[in-house]
Amino acid sequence: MLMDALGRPPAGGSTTAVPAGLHSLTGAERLLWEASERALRHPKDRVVVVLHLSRLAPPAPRPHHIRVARVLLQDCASRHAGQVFAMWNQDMVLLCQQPGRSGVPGTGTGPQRPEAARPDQLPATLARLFSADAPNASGLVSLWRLDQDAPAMLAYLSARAAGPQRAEAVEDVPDDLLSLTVLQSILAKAPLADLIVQQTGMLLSADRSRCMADRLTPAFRELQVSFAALNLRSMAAHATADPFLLCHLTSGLDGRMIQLLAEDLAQGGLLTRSAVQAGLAIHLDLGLEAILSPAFARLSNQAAKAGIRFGASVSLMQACADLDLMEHARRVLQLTGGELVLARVDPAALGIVVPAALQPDLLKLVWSPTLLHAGLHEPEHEGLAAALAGLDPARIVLAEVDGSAALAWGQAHGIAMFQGAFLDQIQAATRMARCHSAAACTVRQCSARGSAAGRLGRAGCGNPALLEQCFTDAG
Amino acid sequence: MPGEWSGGVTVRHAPPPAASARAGETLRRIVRQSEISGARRRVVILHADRLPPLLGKPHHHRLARQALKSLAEADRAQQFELPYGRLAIIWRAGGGAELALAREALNHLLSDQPDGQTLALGEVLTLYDLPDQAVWLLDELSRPDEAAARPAAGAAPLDATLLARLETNLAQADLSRFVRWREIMNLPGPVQHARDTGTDVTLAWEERCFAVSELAASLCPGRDLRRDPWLFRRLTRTLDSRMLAMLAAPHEVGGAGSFALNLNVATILSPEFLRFDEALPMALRGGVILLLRAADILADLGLFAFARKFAQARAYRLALAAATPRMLALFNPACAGLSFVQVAFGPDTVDALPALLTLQSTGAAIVVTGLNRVSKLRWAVQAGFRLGRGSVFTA
Repeated sequence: MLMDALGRPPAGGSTTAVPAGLHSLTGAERLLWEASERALRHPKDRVVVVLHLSRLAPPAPRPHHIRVARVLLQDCASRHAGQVFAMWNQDMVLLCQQPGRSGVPGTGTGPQRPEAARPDQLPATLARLFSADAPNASGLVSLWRLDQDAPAMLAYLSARAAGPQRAEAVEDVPDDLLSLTVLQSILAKAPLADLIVQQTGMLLSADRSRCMADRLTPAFRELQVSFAALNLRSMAAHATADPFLLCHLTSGLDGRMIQLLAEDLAQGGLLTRSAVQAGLAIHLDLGLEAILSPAFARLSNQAAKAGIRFGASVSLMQACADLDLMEHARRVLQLTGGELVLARVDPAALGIVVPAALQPDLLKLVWSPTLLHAGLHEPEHEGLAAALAGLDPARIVLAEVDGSAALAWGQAHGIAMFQGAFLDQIQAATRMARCHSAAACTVRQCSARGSAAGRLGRAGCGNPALLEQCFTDAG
Repeated sequence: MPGEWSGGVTVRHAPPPAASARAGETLRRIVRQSEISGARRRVVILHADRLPPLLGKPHHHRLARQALKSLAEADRAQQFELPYGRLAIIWRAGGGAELALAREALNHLLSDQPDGQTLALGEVLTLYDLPDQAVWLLDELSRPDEAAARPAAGAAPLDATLLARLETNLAQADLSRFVRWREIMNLPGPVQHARDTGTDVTLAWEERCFAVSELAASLCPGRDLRRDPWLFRRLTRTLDSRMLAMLAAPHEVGGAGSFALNLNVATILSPEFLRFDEALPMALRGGVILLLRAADILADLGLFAFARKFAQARAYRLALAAATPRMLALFNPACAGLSFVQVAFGPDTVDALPALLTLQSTGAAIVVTGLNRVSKLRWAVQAGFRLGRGSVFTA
């Protein structure tokens, strides 16, 4: 039985048993427990709304999730004699009064907010707000009436007592501009090959009788600035967190990347040898200005003479930032026989963007589990399903593939080209099966070394000759 | 208020609070009325921006303004803060004594110039007699528009170091004189317009924004802020914060009607916006429109989805800024949950009319911008657009 501090039963007559361990609570959890204890003595019209932000898949909850949730809950709390508690695990709990059906707030006298003014409206509002971040957003919010649901509330508190009592604060990533300038000067001195990674896009045959590795054939190789390499050299925690600053940073390296490729091509280097020997296309991740530069035109000519198919990857954000420049770049690529690759297309973008308007030769669709819902007739996915139906699967590369579910989904939708860490690891595992030094390595290490364009990234490999084969024959 | 150079970034002396960004347009209206009615008025413009560097310190600006104090206090005189630190005073004809006093005081100030660098009084203070010289005055008033303030081709781009200093200075500077209001008008229906020649437009809302080119010309002259689009986007976030901080002040939006703000998506979820939201009067709920850019929306779709739902929950309406027909062939604002789309008038707009009308019928109302001639306004009305923006409405 729930007892008060003097060991008396509560006035409201609750006979709920108090789980063990609640007295060990600290911080906001402790305050919530104390407030709940008081509320349970008069549980009528007292409600608890729990926003389980801890249930969001990482990297969520992001700082804005917490800020906005706090505002909405606090808004309700101020109108209904309530209090908001921020748990260690990032959950947020509102304990307040439930107004009567007339909608008159418990104590608040101010005008009503447009939404979420009442606690019983909060679950719907919060579920709608988080629907893009949580596939099952309704499970993200709990509403408990203390006169009926006290056990659920106490079980929640009990779980908090059993869970961690400390967590890292979720804060905005500092995007210090001075750190950016320091990083730029570091990058200017670093060998470019150590800053870029290469990844092979693979064609997956539909013949399921063979093993996965045998069904894969190299289709193209993409070279881009390595985010990991940038973050490694950055003073700030996340040099690549801000998409605009990241574009500024990488566009500063575009000219060097073109120069590196031109030199590699002239010297028969590793980066372009596969394109010559195995007939792979090379895709360079570049900004629009770099595509329009004389250096890129020279590289395109050089590549054409060597019989290499060349392409440029451009993101939707870059394309939309200057559509006139984008159109100019597309025409330049068309004239030089290069491929326009629309890269990093988020599935959510397909609901609002018609990629065909940019006339790309290839579209790199980023794999996301939300694609599994594309066939559902939910408002959130209707646009996506229609957009997928309107795309030519032969021009789609499913990118950032992280497992066999992605491959299965792609094949079910007629997609044959794939790219991502999962495929890198399959290639690494195949290499390791033939490698005499494999015992000292993990698949992840071999995969990372296979992606490195510079010697630094390949350091530690006990069989560099075999590793180099992944550059020359895309093995 | 800072007025010193600091590594290429300078913050000029801020005008008094009475300064209004709409001053130029209001003065232009008065000049036109004088031209039509023949009412005699006189106008002086103090070009503080033309003061030589040695006389360009904040206290020199104060002295120059002080010199015009007698004129500003003349009968029915009105004072207008214009872009580039210019000050205009208009008064009824007469006032010879006050004008003479002002000239004498300014001459005294200019006499402090070193030999060989003399600046004539006429270059700092210009006098216009209305209505005879209305055309020249209107020409002067239209000079410092956004296009004129753009840096010359080949101007150096912003770099991260300069941007960092600029942001530090922006945090302290009074930016109120760079705020501009643009009126979005409800256009009459085509049938109504056939009877009435276009005088029946009504105000739909006002768009509040910074005159970025003027701000750049003032804070980091010789630099092209837009040349690096990515650092410029970053700068706009800082400007968003400043605009929201200004609007969160109690007197700023107290009696205001509907208005629109140009914001970054991330700004909608920032602490500054949440404070602005808290301070927003209930009467304005549903009356604030947030203008977003397509590239910004596509930069982080998860962030946009959350920001959109939050904005809708708080009764804001969202709009796509600076769209073109080419953009609209790629980006569907109605599917993105945007209620309005700003499309600039141009030859491609005329060509894309059927597509634009289809878009309008699906729920995203189109605001035709750049309506600077009556013929363009007529086209927009006849085409069936319901909202417009442009200098034709202020002319």
